[in-house]
Formats: sequence, structure tokens, C-alpha cells
Amino acid sequence: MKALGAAPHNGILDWLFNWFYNLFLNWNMSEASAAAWASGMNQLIAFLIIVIFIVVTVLFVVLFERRVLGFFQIRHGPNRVGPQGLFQTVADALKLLQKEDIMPLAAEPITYNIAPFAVFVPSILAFVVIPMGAAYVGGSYNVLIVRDLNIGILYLLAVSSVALIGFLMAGWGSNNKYALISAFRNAAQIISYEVPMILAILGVVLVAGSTSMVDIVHSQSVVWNIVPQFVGFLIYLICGLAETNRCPFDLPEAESELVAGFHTEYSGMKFALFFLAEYTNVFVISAIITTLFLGGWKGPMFLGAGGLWLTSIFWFLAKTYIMVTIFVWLRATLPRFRVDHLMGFAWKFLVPVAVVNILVIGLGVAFSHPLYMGSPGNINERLTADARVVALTQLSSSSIYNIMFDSEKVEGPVRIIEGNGTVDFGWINTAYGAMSDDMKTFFWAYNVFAFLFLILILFTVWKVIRGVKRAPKLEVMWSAVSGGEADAKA
Amino acid sequence: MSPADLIAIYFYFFAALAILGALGVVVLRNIFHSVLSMIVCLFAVAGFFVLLNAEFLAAVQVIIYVGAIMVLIIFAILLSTRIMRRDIVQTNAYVLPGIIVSLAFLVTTFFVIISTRFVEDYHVPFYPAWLAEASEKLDNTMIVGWSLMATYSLPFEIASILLLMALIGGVVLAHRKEDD
Amino acid sequence: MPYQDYNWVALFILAGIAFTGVALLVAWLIRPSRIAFSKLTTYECGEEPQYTAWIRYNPRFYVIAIIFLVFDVDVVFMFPWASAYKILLFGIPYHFEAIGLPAFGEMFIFLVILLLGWLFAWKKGAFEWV
Repeated sequence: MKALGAAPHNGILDWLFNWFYNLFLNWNMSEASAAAWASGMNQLIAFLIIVIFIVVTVLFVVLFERRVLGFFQIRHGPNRVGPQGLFQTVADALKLLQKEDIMPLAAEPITYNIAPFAVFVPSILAFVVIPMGAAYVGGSYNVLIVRDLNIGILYLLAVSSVALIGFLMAGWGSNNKYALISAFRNAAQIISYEVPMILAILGVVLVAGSTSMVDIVHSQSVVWNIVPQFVGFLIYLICGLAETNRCPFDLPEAESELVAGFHTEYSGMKFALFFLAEYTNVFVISAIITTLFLGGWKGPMFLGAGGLWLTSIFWFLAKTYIMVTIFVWLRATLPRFRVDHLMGFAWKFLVPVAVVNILVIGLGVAFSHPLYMGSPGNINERLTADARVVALTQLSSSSIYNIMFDSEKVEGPVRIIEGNGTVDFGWINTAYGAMSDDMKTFFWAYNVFAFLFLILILFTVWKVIRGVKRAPKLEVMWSAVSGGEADAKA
Repeated sequence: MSPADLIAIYFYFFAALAILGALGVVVLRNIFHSVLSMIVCLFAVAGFFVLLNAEFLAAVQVIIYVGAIMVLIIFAILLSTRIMRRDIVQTNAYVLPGIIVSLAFLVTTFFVIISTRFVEDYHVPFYPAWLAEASEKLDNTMIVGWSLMATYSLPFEIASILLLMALIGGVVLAHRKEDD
Repeated sequence: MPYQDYNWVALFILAGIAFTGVALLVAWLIRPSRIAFSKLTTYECGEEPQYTAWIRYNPRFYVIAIIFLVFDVDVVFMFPWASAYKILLFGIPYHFEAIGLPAFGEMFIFLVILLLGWLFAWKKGAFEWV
């Protein structure tokens, strides 16, 4: 967000990044400096770079899933087209490009043809607010994000609700019973899991004090949200699986009942678009989990300030692909939910748990629990050259805030603390030492309560997973096959 | 092209989209197309909110109207039996009452617009300077939240009671429908 | 100004539409088209399709959608609260005064009322799928 100065050349990495940045990546500057500094051509090239990144990512995620799934099932997966099967998805796309496009006579042409757009475009739109890294450009700190919208996470929710309409359009437009039932199930499933999902996000917003994705990442400089908000992470993971129709929530695409789901009637390139949108959503959900709970691009910055851009992008991609791997792992492990279990799990279990989770986090923030107070870097970053900074430094109602700001007199250029995302025990110790005795008692009572809550949730989720996995006993199965107990006895 | 021109272009684009969408809801024969057209109209309204720097409202517009209400309407369409045929028969039997009602609404809206004092009409600042300054630096989600909790906390709680009533009413009504 | 950030959103919408459009256009140019009547029938596992799919569906989808609508409004109401929470608790002198713990209490009451509705819906069997 800062104006660019002369770029210092502090080593080859810095030089390389500045070269790229000057060419392409001037995304997140203020309009004025962007206009002064970059021509429209550069903006266009930057945009093309983003588009290519998205396309490559999507193509790679498809291959990644197939290879990892192959690994889980002790087979190779596609490994013939290109090195390690790297071009398999490209080959598939080229094949689908040449396939005949069949629209059934009974289908409703307008809705049928708009549906691929309504599903694919929102999945691309999500990339606008995903922060992928950070870099020092000309000595000032920049975040690699297309646009840091103030409503970042709400924007993502809005975008995903458009895709939902796309699914319904596909189902209805096909005039196919399987497709329509699938679209209905999909819609019911997504809206059921949206409520606990939003509640899980709210926990993160409470700690960050902002809906912007960059602020959320900065609020995790001291400790990643997954540590103090593990319940929220679990809820978001489950809801993310449900939102992307992944196993064990793939009822809308249950092959055994619904053929292929809402895209049963789609062939050729239109099918490919649905397919790509699905995998884009997997990547996007993983990236959102990374941003909300895993500290975004933050991690040990082993290349120093000059290589910040490389390490930050590395950490972002590594965390995201770990999440994608977990998604694939769950697919390889778990069977499908039953539809009534699915709905019951969302409404009867996840919603109350998410509400209690919000209250627990709210209480922790209200009593200045060190893990929930964000980081000093966060607040400095957000309040740059803001009247609020002066006001906040004078604040006396919270000891935590004083600790943050006493050490950081906010005059002159603001120092950004690029926390490496590991738990900063020193800072927590200082905060703990500043507490009164009553606060310390409350602190420990709260910790014990939150821990018990976590154990309870983990136990219940474990029970649910065991319940899904448990197969009927062999005798019962045999009697069902052979026609009841009478046969089994005889 | 100056920013003001860009705003004007966006405004006319969204205005045209909103009007076309609203017309489509009424004119289109296929009821599902009407729904789609209504979604277009709602998006245009979200666009207006963005132009007014009310990003939070824009997001809420899309999340609630497109993500919840339109889904509800689509489910409602598929609940009704005959309505799903390709062309529902459209009659113009109510053309005269329709014209009267819409004219009355137009006239009312017109008078409301000309009798409203907009921000520019006030010679004293419409809101305190610090809020104006803060609203440029802070996201408006936060300012909405602050006013909701600090100033309008009673309406906030009443809103939750209203939602509770809506939930109870919805569940009861829907279950009666299921029994039929 | 915030609205200018949304130029990029508009650009992404256009790019998405262009990408989809070009993909479909290229497919339209190079794909074969050998129309046969049986290809154009609706897929029903090889059987002759029976009637249309646009028939009356189960009302429980509608019930879920109604409950979701109410809950959605509820949780969206909480976003402003969540993003203002720290400022409500600790305040910014001269600008936003702190209201302290009532910021938590108000939301607690709000959530309890929400959970009352949730309990009612459960008791009424709105969450039962079968």
C-alpha cells in the first residue's frame, strides 16, 4: 500500500523479485502510485500473470489429487503424459475440447448454457482476495494480493453463494431427474453447512478485528489461529468439505444413486468447466483455511528480508497443498454420509458447537487472553498513519494494549513485525506477568474450560467418524442378502 | 478518464441492469427465468452499494438475497405443482389495477425523493468530522458494528426477537404445508 | 476509495466470462456434431425417459431453506459485532468510547435468543430429514 521508492539491490533474490515486480506484480498499490508508476500495459500483464497462475493451479490440483489418491490406493495414478504425468490434465482438457456437445431436447437451453458460467466464474473470483505472500519492494512492505478488500471474507461468502445458484441452474436447466435431485441436495447441504461455517469464521474475525484477509493473516503473527481456535478450525474444515462436495459429503455427486450429479447432462467442454470449478474450489477452500487458521504466508523466513517474497509464497503454497492433501486423504479414507445424518450433523451438532465456540472466544477476547489479542505487528500494520494509533497508545483500560504499544512508539515509519508464525512465548510471558492476580485466576480457569471444550468436541467428532466407518456385522449382512433371519437360522 | 466518469459509467450500467432485471421478472414467461432475472437485479443493487462505499451492505445483499432468499424462492417454485411448465399462461386481466398501483408508487417515490434532504443539502456536516475521517480509514463493517452495539443496542436485540418470530412462524407454517 | 478496489472484481468477472466463452467457442469450432435422436434424449440410465423432471419436490428442502434464511441473517448480523468487538471492549478515546463487557453481553443475549429458535425448530422436527 505504500509508495515505491528506489529499489535497493540487496542480493540476487531481491534483485530478481524487483525485476518481476517492476514488470508484472504491481497489484496492491494505491491507485495514485499505481497510476504514476505503472502503465496500463503493466497492469494488463500482471492480470495475465494472475490468470495463468490460476489456470496452472487448477490444472495442477486435478493432477495432484489423482496422484495422491493413487498413492493412498497403492497404485501409480496418471504418470505417462509428460514427466510424472504433469500434462495429464492438459491432455484431458484437450480431449474434452474435441468431444461432441450434447444438449438434451428436453433441456431448457438458456439456463442450461448459462450454468457453466455461473459455476466457473465465481470460483475464479475467489482469487481476488487471497493473500499469497509478502515482499519488500523498495524497502516498503507489500502484500501479494490482487486486492485487499475491506470485506474480504464476506466477499468470499458472497461469491460462494453465487456458485450455489449456478448448481441449481445446472440441475434445473438439464431437466434431468438425477441432475435436479443432485442440485437440490447440493443446495440443501451447502446452506446447512454455511451457518456453522460463518460462525467459525466469526471466531477469526473476533481475534483479527477485521474482515480483511490481510488483517486476518497479520493477526496471526504471534500464534496461528489453529492453536487457540482448534474447534473453529475443525468446524471450518468440515464445512469446507461440505461446501466443495468432497467426500464424505459428496452426496450431490453420489455415483451410485445420482449418476454424476448436477452435471449429468453436460458433456465436452461444459463438463470440463464444472470439473475445473470443483477443483478450483478445493484449492480456494484450502487457501482460505490457510489464511484463516494456518497463518497465511507466515512461517520461518529463512531467506531473510530480501527473500521474503520467495519464502512467503513457499509457505502459502506448502500450507495450502497440505490442506489439499488432507482433503484427498479424507476422500481416500471415509465413506459417504447418509443424507439424514448429514443434515442432522450440521444442524444438531455443528451449529450449537459453533455458537458455544464463538462465546468462548468472545469471552477470551473480552478478558484479554494473550492468545486472542492478535499481534503487535497486526495493529501497527493496520493503524499506519492513523489517528487511531495515537488514541490507542494512550489507552489504559487494557494492559495487553499497553504492553503492545509501550514497546512500539508509533512515530516515524512504522516497523512491521514479520512474525514467523510460531508461538512467541516471550511476548505471552510479558502479557501474563502484567496481569493482576484475579486475571491470572480467570486466565487459568478459562484455559481449563476451553481445553475441556476442545476435548469434548474432539471426542464427539471421533465418535461420529467411528459411527460412519463401522460396517454392519457379517451375520447381519449375510441375513440381509439371503432374505432375513429365517434363512440365516436355517 | 477521471474517476467521476468511471462512477457514472458504473452507475448507468447498474441502473440499466437493475431496470432490465426488474422488467424481466415481470415480463419473462418462464418462471425460472424470472428468478434469474431477479438475481441480476439484486446484483445491480449490490453494485450500487459498492458505489456508495457501503461494502458491507453489498456483501450482505449478495449473501442474504442471492444466497438465501433466491434459493428459498427456487425451492418454493419446485414445491408448486403446475408452475414448472415451460410457459405459464400470463394474463393481462389486472392491467388497470396494475397501472394504478405502479403509478401511485411512482408518484410516492418521486415525492419522497424531492422532499428528502440529502447530505449535500445540509450546511452543517451530516455526521461528525471524526466519523467522516474514521470511515475513510476503517472498514464500514466495523463502524456498523460499533453503532449497532453502542448506540442501537435495543433495536439490535429486538431484531433478534423478530428473527426468532420469523423462525418460529416459518417452521410452523412449513410444517402445516407438509401435513397437507 | 474502496469502490476502486472493485475494478479488479469487475475485471475478474470479465476475465472469467471471457475464459469460459473462449473455451466454449473453441470447443464449438473443433468439436464434431453428429446428431442422432437417441443422443438427445434425457439420460435415465438407458431407459426411455419418463415425463419431465420438473415435478413437485419434497417440502423439507423448503423448511431447511427457511431456517437457513433466518440463521443467515442472524450470523451476518454478527459480522459487524465481531469486527468492532475489540474497539467496543477497549475503545479509542475521543473517537469510539468503550462500552466494555456489555459488548459481550449483548451478543450473548442475541445468541441465546437464536438458540431458543434453534431449540424450537429441533423440537418441531425441522431438522429431521426422514
